[in-house]
Amino acid sequence: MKNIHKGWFYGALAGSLSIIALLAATGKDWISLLAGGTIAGIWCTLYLLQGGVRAFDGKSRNTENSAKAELLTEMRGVVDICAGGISEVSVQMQEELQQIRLLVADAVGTLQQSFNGLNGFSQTQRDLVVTMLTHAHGDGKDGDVEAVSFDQFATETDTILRFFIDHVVQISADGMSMVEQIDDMASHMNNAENLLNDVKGIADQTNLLALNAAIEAARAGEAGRGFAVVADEVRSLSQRSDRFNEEIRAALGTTRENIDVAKKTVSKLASKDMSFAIQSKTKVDQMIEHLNTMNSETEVRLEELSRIVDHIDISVGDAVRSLQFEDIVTQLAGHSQAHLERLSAMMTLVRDGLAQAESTAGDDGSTRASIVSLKERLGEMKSEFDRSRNKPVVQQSMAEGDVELF
Amino acid sequence: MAITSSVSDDGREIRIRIDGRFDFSDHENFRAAYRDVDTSKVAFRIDMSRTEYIDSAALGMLLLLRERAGGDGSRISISGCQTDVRRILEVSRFHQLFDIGGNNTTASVSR
Repeated sequence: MKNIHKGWFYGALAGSLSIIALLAATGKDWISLLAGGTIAGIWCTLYLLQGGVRAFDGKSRNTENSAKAELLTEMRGVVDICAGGISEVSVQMQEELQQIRLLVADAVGTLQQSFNGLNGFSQTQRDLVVTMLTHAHGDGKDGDVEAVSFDQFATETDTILRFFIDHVVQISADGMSMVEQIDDMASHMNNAENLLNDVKGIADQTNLLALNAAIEAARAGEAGRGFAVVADEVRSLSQRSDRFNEEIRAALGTTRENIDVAKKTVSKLASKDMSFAIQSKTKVDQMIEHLNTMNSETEVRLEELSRIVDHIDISVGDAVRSLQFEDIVTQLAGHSQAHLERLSAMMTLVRDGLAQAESTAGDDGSTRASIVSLKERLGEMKSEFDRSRNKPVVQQSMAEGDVELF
Repeated sequence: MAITSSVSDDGREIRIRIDGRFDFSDHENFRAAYRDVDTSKVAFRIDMSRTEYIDSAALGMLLLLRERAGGDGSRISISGCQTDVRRILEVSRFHQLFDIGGNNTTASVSR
């Protein structure tokens, strides 16, 4: 029985060492740890069995046979407990893995959607910025009314103001020219009035002459009778001439009043305070300067904005690429599930092998043969397991690869 | 006497000085300064060093004088303008039509 204790000791030692070795080798992967631990346990059991078989050599056949059968039954009991525990944990882990896959898939779906939306908004923002930058730089020659450049606006404003000022000055010049003509007209009217005075003098003279002629005709008596009629006619003519004179004078007076009114009107038209021009010019200059500053500031801000949009694009791209982790997680979960299945298969193999060994109790050769065969099959299974374990997910970092948005 | 005019000894230059306000009310006196002269044969020197204010009528009168004196071939210089008057002349682009300068012996440039 001493040898059996020794076997236990070596088995435990080997198992601990295997766990430590696996801990050191894999470290972070809890599935590997669990699998490694289980494998170590199996090895421990096998080592124990081998030790037990060796211990039974050279003992008496009867006691040996019953002791062997007992031992094998115990072994199988241990393995059964092991297998039961493993299958329980395995089911639980399978469920949890499935849950992880679903959760990750769900979260990644939502993330993908929101990043796609973000990308769309970012594109729209970029388009807007580009349009605004184009307008800010635009020369407006493409016929687009809204794309009038700032320089054009400034030039146009200046031109309009200048046109307005020129117009005011030209109206004044025309007005002053008109005033000259009105003045000339007034002086001509003065001449006409002077002439009327002369005409009135002649009429007065004629009147006086007619009066004298009438007196002379009365003195002549009957002989001057006809002459008196003529003198009377001449007198009435002079009086009519005098009336005409007065009427013309009155008409001239009215005209003079009209001319005065016209002159006043033209004076109003021609006299404009030019300080409006200076003020307008100053205001327009200030406005243009202000707009100029604003314009260049806007340009700087827009360029900044454009750079930010670039950064957003890059960040969104990075984020979308990182969403690949879903694939990797799914793959890893799949691997873990496969590991668990292998573990179960291994346990089944051990159970079946032990059952076979138990059935051959009493026949050392057969027992040994079935245990050796179990060992071989376990060895094969393990090397197969190692082969498939050597090709896990290659990608270790999310930064690799490039993902296009769809 | 807002407007005083004199003819140079050789009769080739007419000097017009405008004091205080130069506006519509001066039109008769201003015209009188060149009315009886053959305007195409003389040069005009307008001294504005004492002119404090001009309106659009004054600008119109200056344009009329230029027209009478032969338009582009006229010889009219305006000198001694004070700041406000100078700015009005500038904003009306009179420096393209007249010889505007401060180079006048009687100019008292007050800025």
